[in-house]
Amino acid sequence: MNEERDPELQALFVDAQQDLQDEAFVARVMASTSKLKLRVFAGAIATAVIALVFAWLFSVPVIDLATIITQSLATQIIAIGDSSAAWLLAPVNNLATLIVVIFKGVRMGLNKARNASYVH
Amino acid sequence: MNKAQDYYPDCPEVLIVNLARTGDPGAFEELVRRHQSSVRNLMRRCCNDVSLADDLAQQVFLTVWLNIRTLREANAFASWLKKLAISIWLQHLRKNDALRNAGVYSGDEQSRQPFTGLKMDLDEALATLPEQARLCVVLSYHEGMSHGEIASATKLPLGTVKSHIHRGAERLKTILSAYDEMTNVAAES
Repeated sequence: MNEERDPELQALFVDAQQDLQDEAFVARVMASTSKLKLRVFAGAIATAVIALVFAWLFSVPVIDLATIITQSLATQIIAIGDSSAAWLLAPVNNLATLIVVIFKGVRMGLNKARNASYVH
Repeated sequence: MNKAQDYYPDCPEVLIVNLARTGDPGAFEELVRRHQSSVRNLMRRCCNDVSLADDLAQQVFLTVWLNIRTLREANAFASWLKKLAISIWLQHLRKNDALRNAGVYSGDEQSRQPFTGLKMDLDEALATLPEQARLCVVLSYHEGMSHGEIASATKLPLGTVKSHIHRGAERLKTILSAYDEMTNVAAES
């Protein structure tokens, strides 16, 4: 089926086109944008107030939670105390690194499995 | 002394779009002025209801006003506007379907007069097509879009678009030729 259009029908569509220039329509659209502007402004103020209330209510528990997570991610996998070796190995000897390694491994495995399924 | 807005009608489209993106209401007004006819014509072909078509066209321009900053290329404005218009029309159809399914809305077709031969014109013939087929035919014949462009704009499979356009055009021709015969008979008698 090609994209050729029926010429008679095409002519009908061309004839049906009207020049609909109407200043009243333009004025109506512009009046609606003014109302919309007010609504957007009111919405932004309401969002800011809600965000402030949330920050005031939940900032302390959120900071506490963030502290707990950060401290637990820094936990040593192999306990080697506070020696200089522990300091040197700190970037790899922690829970966060283990989680990243596991995540990367799983993703690589999934990608390999997906590529293998495309080949077959 | 003339204001900058006085020169907008003579300015190239890209400049007007860029000014509208910066929030210039005069430039946006000029865009509405330039494109109102095409959007309102498209909506009229789609819904065969002048006031609904104007309401939907207004909604299209309000969406443009809200989102024009997200438009990356100013020279793509016309095609972006067309896509927005199609999307607003599809949203309108989905909303009406939901209301119809809930029994709240009985549909345009019941508020419209059933066509009597002499009142028949292109818009009324289009209104007899199923909604998706009507949209595909209008986009092809009225907007001059290719089948691929219609498929991408309406999210319909290409094969469905082709079949809607082919069958829709055939049906329109049948209806309109029957109408021609009726008007000829009426004129002779």
